Amino acid sequence: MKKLEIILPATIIVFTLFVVGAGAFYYNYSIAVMRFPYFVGAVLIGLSALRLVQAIKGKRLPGEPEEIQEPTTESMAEFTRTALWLVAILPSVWLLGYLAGIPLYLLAYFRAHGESWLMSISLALGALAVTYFVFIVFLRVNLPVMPLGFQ
Amino acid sequence: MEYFTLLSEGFVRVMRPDLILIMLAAIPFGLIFGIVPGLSGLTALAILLPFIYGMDALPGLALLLASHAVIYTGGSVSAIILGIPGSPPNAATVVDGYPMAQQGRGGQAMGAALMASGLGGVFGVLVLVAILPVLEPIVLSFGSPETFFLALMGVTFIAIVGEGPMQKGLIAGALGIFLALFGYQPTTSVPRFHFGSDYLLDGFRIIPLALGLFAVPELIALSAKGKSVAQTGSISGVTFGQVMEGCAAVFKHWWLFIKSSTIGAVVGIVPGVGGETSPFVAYAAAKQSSRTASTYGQGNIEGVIAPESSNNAKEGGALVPTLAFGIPGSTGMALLLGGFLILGLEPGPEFLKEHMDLGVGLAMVVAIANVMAAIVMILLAKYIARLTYLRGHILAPLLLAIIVLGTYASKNNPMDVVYVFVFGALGYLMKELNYSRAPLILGFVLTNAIESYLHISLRSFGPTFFMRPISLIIIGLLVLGLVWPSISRRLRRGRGA
Repeated sequence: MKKLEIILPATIIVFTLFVVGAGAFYYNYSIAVMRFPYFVGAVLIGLSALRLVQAIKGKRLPGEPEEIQEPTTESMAEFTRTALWLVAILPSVWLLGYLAGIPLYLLAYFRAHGESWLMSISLALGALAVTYFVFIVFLRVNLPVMPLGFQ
Repeated sequence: MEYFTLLSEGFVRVMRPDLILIMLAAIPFGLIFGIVPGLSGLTALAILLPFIYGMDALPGLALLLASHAVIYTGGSVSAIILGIPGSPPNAATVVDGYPMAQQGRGGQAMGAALMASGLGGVFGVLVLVAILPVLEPIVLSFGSPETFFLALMGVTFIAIVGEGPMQKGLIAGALGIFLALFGYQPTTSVPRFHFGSDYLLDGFRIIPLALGLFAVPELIALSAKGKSVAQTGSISGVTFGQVMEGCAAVFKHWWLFIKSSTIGAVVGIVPGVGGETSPFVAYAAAKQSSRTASTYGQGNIEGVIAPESSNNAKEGGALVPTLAFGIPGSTGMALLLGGFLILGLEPGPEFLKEHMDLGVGLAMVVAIANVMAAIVMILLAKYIARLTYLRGHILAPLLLAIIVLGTYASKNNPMDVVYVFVFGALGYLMKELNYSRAPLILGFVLTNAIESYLHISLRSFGPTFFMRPISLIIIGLLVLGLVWPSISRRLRRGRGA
């Protein structure tokens, strides 16, 4: 957790410096455009830098729990597995289109997490029905139903 | 007299069949998100946001408000039956509600909680409609400098009193403002920080940000947990007769109800405080003045009525600063501000002047939604509560599919879906590291107003625009808010020494 406490403010500082720097030196925006970003950027960098120093020193802020549990290798692996399963919906809908991608993603997810075939197929078919009738027929959304983002 | 006409017109406007249908669709959604622990009201609001695109103002906001208004009504059921609060503000209900369920009086507790919630919500609305006309002349005296400082104060206050340490809240608020600087600058229309990307020309969008911050981290937690939350507790012993007995208890303890609802509404008005605070304040006040104080914590029905009345009443109170000043009274209201933005509305002084009828309509929506939700839950609570037996492995991917579809539907842009996950990673990190996410969304929502009013103020009043009396008062309050936590810490330490 300590590493993450350092990484987040450090990333914010780098990101803010990069964006403000691009506005000032690459795009050469006028002061009317950059006045507010300078102000907000300075506040954000100042606060994040302070937090960064505190995190490096291991200082606990008021209102924070006394002991923060450090993630274990198992919990990190579990998190990675969970996150990857959730993110997998992106390539599914891109490769297969929304109409086929979402039900197939759900079917794979449920089966991989130990649900029965009956439950998995029922829920996947339910999702297909909702996608088609609610989003395509009722809400008239132009969902890319073909693979690779084609309509 | 004119205001009463406005009220009656507002009521008639809300009783349109299409609005009733929208509320009927929103209420079960809110109740489900309230009942299932781990799915907060914020997640419900975030998921509903994409669906208001293209809607008229009142139906769009009715969809959001109706679902949000009833979250805590649903949350009370899991607090009583499972001993797990459906939403954080239901935590105070667990103290007496769960022991009642264990003593076989779960139905009574549920009836009392649902009736108190429903009537408490109506009470909060009464406070709102009473205060709005009083506030109108005050907010109309605000110029651009005052509005600028008010918006700034809104972000700062929610950072100070929100969850997590103040410093982290302030970082989140500033980051939210910074993220909103991408895209066309409001006064010069110069495309800012677009880095050659067509997507960034319009800046980051509120929907991927809201969903990423408030829905994705909850889905990760739900999916990681896998099993259902309902490991304990039983709903089989709940009878309709018991539920009705509980409902009647609210009328028997009418003074407690009025006192707790007033506490809820008043605490709700204080920007950013509402949330989890008001039910505990109401619970403590009830215990202090009760003749049966010794039985609190062992299944006293008063300990259910007090927090639940204040819980729903606070939402009416929280709408007061949201509508009048554009400063959200609770975290949910910060997301609701995002809804206003999507519908092209800007709450604040101008809103009351131009859209008082809409404000009254929204108050009516909250009142009607609360009554409808209480009726639905009293009749069906026993069956709806079974939703807590749903496994995380089933809920998480289904909700994710709705999020992906809803996000795409909002603007037909696949990049929005990608950004849900980008902001989801940020939201997850913030949640894990105890950074409050509400200031980020509020900063993002208010940036356009903050920057525009800063430019107008500088152009109209010069660099000394902050020297106006009301501005100075707001600056004073802002500074006081920033230094108060450390002053109170020192005072506490001094008293302890």
